[in-house]
Amino acid sequence: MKQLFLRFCDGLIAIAKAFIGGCLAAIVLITLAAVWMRYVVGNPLSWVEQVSNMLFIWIVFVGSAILYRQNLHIGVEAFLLSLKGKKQEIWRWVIECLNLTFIIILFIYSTKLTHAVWDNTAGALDISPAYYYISAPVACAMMMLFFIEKILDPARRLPEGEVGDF
Amino acid sequence: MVAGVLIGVFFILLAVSVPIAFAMGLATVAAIMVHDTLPMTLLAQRALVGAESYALLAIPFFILAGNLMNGGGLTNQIVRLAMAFVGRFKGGLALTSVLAAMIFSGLSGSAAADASALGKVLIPTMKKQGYGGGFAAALMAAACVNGPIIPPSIPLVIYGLSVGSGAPIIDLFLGGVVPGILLGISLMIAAYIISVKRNYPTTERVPLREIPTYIKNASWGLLMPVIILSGVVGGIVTVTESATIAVLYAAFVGFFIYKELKLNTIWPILVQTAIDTALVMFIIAISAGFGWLLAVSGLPRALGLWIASVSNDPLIILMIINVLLLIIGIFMEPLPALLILIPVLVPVVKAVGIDLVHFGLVMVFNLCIGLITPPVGILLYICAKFANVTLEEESRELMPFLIAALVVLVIITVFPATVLWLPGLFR
Repeated sequence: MKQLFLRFCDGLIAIAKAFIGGCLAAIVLITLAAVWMRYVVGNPLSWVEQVSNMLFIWIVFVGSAILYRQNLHIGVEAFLLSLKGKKQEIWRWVIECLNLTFIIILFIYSTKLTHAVWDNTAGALDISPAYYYISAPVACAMMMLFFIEKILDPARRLPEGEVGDF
Repeated sequence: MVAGVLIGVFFILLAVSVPIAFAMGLATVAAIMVHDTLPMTLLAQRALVGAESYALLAIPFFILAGNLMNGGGLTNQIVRLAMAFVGRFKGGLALTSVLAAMIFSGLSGSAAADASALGKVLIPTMKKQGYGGGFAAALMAAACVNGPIIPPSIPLVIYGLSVGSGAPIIDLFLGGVVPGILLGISLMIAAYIISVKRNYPTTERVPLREIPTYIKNASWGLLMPVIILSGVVGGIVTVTESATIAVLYAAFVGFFIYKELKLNTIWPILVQTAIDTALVMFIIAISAGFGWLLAVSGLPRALGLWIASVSNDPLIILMIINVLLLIIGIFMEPLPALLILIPVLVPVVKAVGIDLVHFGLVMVFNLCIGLITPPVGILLYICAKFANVTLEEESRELMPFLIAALVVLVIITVFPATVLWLPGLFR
């Protein structure tokens, strides 16, 4: 059961990475198409902004779930690193629980918000903002799964990979 | 009360190592809880609306363009070009590092990316030529502060978008050119003086008539900032559109000129760029609620009244803000500091008539100095790793460069023309 769950999380992260990479590729291509249509053909595409924004929000939230799983969200680690051994491990879990608190709150209220706007429509495509908003509860749900994974698998408690910084 | 809870909870959580985005989110939750009427859905609503901006798309595009161009071929050409110009002087390689970082800053909007690409090549070479490891690391770190000052710049995009009207991104980009050049010159002066004192070597003297060849070899990289700026300055395309054109250009150069990009290397770059983007954007999204609450809390008004009671001279106010920002920059990365402070400080400086483009450059420049101050200066860590020295060894060599950067900060604060002259030419 545990192995199955861990394999599921591995699969989920692979899909998530492919998904956000694909979203970014799509945004680049449609923005280039938009520039072409507007300046060369002279026939601007009305839906580009809305579709790009939607894909972008999905990148941001699903990407943040990937960052959460790989322990790459940035912070000031001086205090944590000043603790030694067991104390550091306990404090890591305190931080994890604080993170989880926020994730759960965001999950609840972003789900409510998504539900509230379900029947509205907006923008050039006349689609519901729920298509954007649901990215937040999806990402929060992923993070909750990854929290359980951290409990089950010690290898998931340390940073994995690197990420650019600005 | 709301502002007190917001800031208090945020800084406590930050101090005990809670990641920035989560610390901001929890502080927002706490502040909404103490407020009588605000609903908790505000948190989710602001976060989602905060990420929904077409202009913000410029961020992944600039990151992607930088990542596509980041192959070794162009880096080497840029280093050779810089060396042809300044290698002939004492401490040639040190001066080369500063100049190469200036050129590189025109390719990417991120200081950390510049430090990784150039530090990898230049720091070990400097050590081989007899430069101290701490000196090489400290100089490279300081030189890469220019990354977000010389356009394109991710912090300047964020500043421009947060402020809205009064600070067009293109004016901010152009406004960064002169401060960036000043920083380069002042770092070169500091490096030259130290090099003469320690008798660091010169590199091979390149005859002046050969310099055009070096310029030609590096021209694919040198053209990048020109492409980004010219379309927007001409009013032809928006910043987001010019950023996609930069992506197209970088892909073209990578595929056909340096031939370092292949179809199967594009995919990992796209995924990495998406993750890098999420890191920045998640903080921006969560900070939207935080910033909104801060703005409605009355803190900007109170701070404005306090500053007005001290002085109403714009220069004195800017100096007070500079001191405040330098202290904050020691503990915080530029990006979260910008997001938190813009809603507080911009109304204050607006009220006394300080130009918002000028203020943007002062603010970003100031906070970027924090990239090279211990204990959280990210550039120090990157460069220390390449030099294989401890942070202490590196920090001991840092002082002259820190002073050089502070001198430029004072110059751009006191003389707004250093920032505003170039954008003024294109109006």
